[in-house]
Amino acid sequence: MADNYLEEYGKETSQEVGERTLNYFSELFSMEMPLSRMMKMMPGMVKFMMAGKDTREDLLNFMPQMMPMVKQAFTGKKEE
Amino acid sequence: MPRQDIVAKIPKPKEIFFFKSCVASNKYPGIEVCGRDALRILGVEPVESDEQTCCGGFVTFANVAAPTSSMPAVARNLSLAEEKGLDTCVLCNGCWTFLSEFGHFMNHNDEIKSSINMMMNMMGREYKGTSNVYHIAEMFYRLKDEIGKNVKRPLKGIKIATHYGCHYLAGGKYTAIDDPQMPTYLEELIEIMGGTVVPYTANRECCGTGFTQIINGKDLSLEHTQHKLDSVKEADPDLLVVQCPYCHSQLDRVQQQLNYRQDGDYQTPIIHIAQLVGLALGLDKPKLALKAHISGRERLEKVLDKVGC
Amino acid sequence: MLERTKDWSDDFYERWKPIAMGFVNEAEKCLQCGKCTGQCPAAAVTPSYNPRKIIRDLVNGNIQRVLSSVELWQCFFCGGCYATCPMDINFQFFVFMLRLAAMNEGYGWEDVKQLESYAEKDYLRDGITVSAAERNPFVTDTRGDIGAIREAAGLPRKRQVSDRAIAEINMLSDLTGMTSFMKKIGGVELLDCRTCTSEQEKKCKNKPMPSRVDKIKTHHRFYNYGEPGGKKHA
Repeated sequence: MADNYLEEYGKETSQEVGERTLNYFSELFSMEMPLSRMMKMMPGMVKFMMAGKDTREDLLNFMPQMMPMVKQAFTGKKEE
Repeated sequence: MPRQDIVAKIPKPKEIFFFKSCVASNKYPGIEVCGRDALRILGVEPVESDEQTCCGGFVTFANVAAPTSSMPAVARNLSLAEEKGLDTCVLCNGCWTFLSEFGHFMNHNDEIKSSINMMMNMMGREYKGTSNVYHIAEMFYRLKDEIGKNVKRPLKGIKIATHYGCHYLAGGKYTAIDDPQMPTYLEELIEIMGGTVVPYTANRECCGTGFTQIINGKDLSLEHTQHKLDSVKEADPDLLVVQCPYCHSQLDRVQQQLNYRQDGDYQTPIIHIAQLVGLALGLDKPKLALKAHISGRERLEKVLDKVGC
Repeated sequence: MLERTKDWSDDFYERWKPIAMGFVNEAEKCLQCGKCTGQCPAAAVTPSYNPRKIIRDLVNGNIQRVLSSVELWQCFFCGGCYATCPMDINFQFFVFMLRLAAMNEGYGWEDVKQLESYAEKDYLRDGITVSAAERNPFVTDTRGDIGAIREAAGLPRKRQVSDRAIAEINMLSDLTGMTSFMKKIGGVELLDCRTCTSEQEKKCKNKPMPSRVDKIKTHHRFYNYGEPGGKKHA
């Protein structure tokens, strides 16, 4: 077991650690909606839809709003 | 000294959205009942909703999720009040900082607000950011004239010390009604209700819950609380009034734990400001739910006898 | 061991600020006055905990030292540092953001693991984070059943949160990635010396916390800012 944090990190510098952290945060707080992220959201929405009648109605009302986003995620382009 | 300009901005509404707190509901129900009924006596009708959940602060501060995950929960809870066109009144310091801070944050970041609104729309809600969040102690201070008029059981001869807690005054450095270093509004309220204020040294110290330290770093947490309780014990008040259910739970329960662990003798009854106002306004004894309190139960009974409850 | 100044990441904070959604603002204005540490309840019981040093290391780019420290996990979240700060640095927000970064580096999972069940079992299932269950038997002996007290006060036995509300917060949790994050935390294997099997004990000697979280290898934290806290060191 390392006695000091520098031993634990070995040859890695703070720059590399910083870079890794920045990548992590830019992914975590990204506002973009790529396909992979949208697919991750699907199970939650399906679960919500199955929860009851009123939730299903609300989600169906939202669908028209969602279509352009889905399209955008598939094509990867922003619609004009 | 309370900042009178901020106090004056607090409205005296006919109705207010009453935001229930987790700790108050499940550990000290008297806080919830007294807060509700006291507001009603003072002419503000509290509106409750079963749709309301926890404010979501725990999730962020315990690092169980990224702050972006609890922001939609804040938006959802605030949108409940917005639907009814009401402001929100909270019982807990934590709820206050979290709802007002993150609400403020969303109001000033259009990109985040629109992405959160997308999620809100999925369930047929919308977050606009029109509901202001007020702490119940703030509301009481605003309604202090009404409290003075409605006191049924004056707290004559009862020595009361105050504990403000951290998240209301420190988190709301510019928006809270009092100065974070030297607040006095609870003392003022106590005097209006006829009680005697007892000063003690560690007044502005944290209760020691440390949000998650009571779970993760229990020794640190207990050590800090003990320091606070030692100071309280020296002043020997009949009651210690708090304005946050989480502080309430920490100060109340840790006394017993310290008595058990270190053979201490800490017996100071803790009471929430809502319960104290409820007591003075003459609510029934079961409504105060003082049975749920753990420490200083005998002393609490004596106090109740004194005020004729 | 001497610190390797030349390896510090000078521009980390500058680059972090724009992507951190405004949670880590104004640290570059820090005066290093130490008022935050002077009033800090955590520093009162653990002398090695020092918000001033953490901010200094963050701005200077000594990221390794901050992220691998135990001190980062000793904050009380009281906000006193913000209240007293002449430059309005909201240090509480720095702490939970830095903790997220530390978790990405494999530190602190053992602490978060203990908290995860509150979010999963209470918040997502009942909509209320603090449940009515008591861990301390003394409490239930003294005051009895909380349901009865609630009923006497004129409330329902259990606080009602509608099914719809619970479905909604569960969806929000799924959509924002909270559920998957919590699953990750749930994957941490905590070793307890009392319940440890001999096989685990063997592992324990060379690798005290053997679990990985997803792709992240977990590590033990270090007292990077001084001696361990507690009464005997105060």
